[in-house]
Parts: sequence; structure tokens; C-alpha cells
Amino acid sequence: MQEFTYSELAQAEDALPADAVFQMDEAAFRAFYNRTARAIWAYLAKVTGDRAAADDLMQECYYRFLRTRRAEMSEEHARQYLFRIATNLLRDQWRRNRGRLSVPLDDAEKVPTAEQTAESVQARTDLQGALRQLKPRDLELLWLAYVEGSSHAEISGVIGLKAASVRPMLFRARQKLLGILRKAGITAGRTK
Amino acid sequence: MKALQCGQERRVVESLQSGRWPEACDPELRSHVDHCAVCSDVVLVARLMREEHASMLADLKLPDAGLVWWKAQLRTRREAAELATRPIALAERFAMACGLAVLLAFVVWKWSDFYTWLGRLANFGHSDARWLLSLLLNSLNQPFSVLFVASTSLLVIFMACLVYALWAEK
Repeated sequence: MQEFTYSELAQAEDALPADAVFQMDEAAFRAFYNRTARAIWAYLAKVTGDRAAADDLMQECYYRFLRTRRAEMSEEHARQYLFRIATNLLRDQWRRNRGRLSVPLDDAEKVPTAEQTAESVQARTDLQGALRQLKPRDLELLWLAYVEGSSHAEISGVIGLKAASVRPMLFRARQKLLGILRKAGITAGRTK
Repeated sequence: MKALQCGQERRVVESLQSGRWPEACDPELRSHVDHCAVCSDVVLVARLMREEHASMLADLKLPDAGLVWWKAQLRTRREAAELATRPIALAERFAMACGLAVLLAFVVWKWSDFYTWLGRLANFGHSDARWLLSLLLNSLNQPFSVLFVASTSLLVIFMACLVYALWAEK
């Protein structure tokens, strides 16, 4: 990457318009980040299956959000827009890594705590294995619907599907996951 | 064929989302889920995924908002600086291309002499050194040749400086 002297960076900063590129001040950004970062990171980490990739994608996600956010966006709209950016980044990541398996999340390397039993750790490992067998689109649908609690209209806005397509696709993703879980012997009672 | 939807699906998800499921939710809803294949599947999948979500976030340490903000600002400034210096970089590349084109044209124009010189170079001896010296001295007697040699030398020096400057910048 090209290196710049401090004077060149300062000149570039002077050249930026007064209302700058970010239509959000730092305090507002901090508050928004604190409300959304965990959800976005979890979404990215679960679909990529890679914590390091999720860290990088999250930074990119907020960068793009700051560069393109409109000042008149409501909180809900901004949150949905952020997830839309994240989904697009996941799509690009998947295209770049097509055919290459992602490294599983390293949670399995964590030493179980006193509260965790061997059975619950095994159940979680089985679930993670089941989720990894899903396609990224299916994982996105299920995550947005059941973890984020997004409506079908919101999901269609984030993923870029027609609203009428969300319901059948969500049904198919759910059935696919249930099939995998039943084959692995994972039931609702086993995880609690 | 299994039904794709149930009218209560959204209520079930909201109940899970708010943490009311199963103890604090509407008993009618609980009873419905017990008898509805779609809603019982939703509960199973949603509970598992939400438990996975909670496990992922346990002990998670995310970067500070200030760091994310600062990195975004730094990147914006870098991109602005790259945009500002792009015309200079293009001019440098154009100058280099022109210099190379002039050199190539000169080589093509004087190809026969170069060919002879290269042939002599292969068998360079004492007599050839004297030949080269006499050739140089004869050239210096003609003003046009002096000008040509001087400008060619300056061009070569300029290109060498340009290459060095670009390499040092990288």
C-alpha cells in the first residue's frame, strides 16, 4: 500500500468538506456501535464460521455504514441497513472463498467451565456441526428470523429477496436444519 | 404435505425474543405450539439458535467503538490522499512511457550500428577500443551529434532518477 507523509494526510484532511464524509459524529457512532456490534459480529461469525474474518468484516461493515449512511435514517432503518451491508460482505466473502472450507469457530478449544457439563458441550458441538452443513443463504435466513427476530419484510430488505419468497425459503431452511439435527440426534431437550 | 406457515408463528418468535417462552407466555399459545407442527419446529430451531447465539457472545471482547471510528477515519483520509495524488502518479507513468518510447525509437533508427557494435563487443580487443574512441571523437566534431548525445544522456539520467524515485516511494 502506498505510504503517505503526515503533511500529505493533513492536506487530504483539509481537502475534505466541512460536513465530512461521515454523517454521524463520534458520540452518536459510539452509542450506535454499542447497541449493534454484538449482533452484527455474531451474525458475521456464524455465517462465515471464522472469528478472525468476522472481526475484519465487522470493521469493513461499519466503515461502509459511516460512508453511506444518510442523516435522516431512523434507528431501525439504520440497523437494517447495517445488516444489509453485512450480508453483502458475506456474499463477497463467500465468492472469494468458494470451494474453500472455513475454519471452524475455535469454541471447541475452550475449556468447559464448571457450569458446563460434558453433555452440553457435546450438544453445542453437534449443533455447530449441523449449522455448518447449511448453505450461507439458509443460515442467514434462520439467523435473521430466529435470533434477530426480523420480520419477513425486514429479511427481504436485508438479503435482497422478494418478500413473498422469504416464507418458503425460510421453511425450507428450517426443514433442512431439522433434518440434520434429527440425524445427529439433537432434540430440544438435549440442549438445556 | 407439511404446511408452510402458521398464523401464530410470529407470536411464537416474539415470545421467544422477549424471553417469555415458555413459562411467562400465554398458555393458549403454549397449548397451540403443542399441537402445531410448524410452530413446534419454529420453537425447536429458534431455541437452539438463540442458545448458540448466547454461547458465542459469552466472554466476547469486541474492539472499542473509538478504535473502529479511528480506523474508519484513517482509511477515509488514505483514500482521499490516494485520489489527490493520482494525477501525479499518472504523469510519472506517462513520462516513463515516453522515455521508453524515445529509447526504443532510437534503437530502431540506429539498429544497424548497434548490431555492428554488439558484434564487435563479442570480440572486443585493443583495436576495437581504439575504433570506439575514434568514433566518439569524430562524433564530437559534429554539433548535431553532440546535441543528440547530450540529450540522450540527459534522458537516460532522468529515467534512472525517475525509476529510483518510484522505487524509493514504494
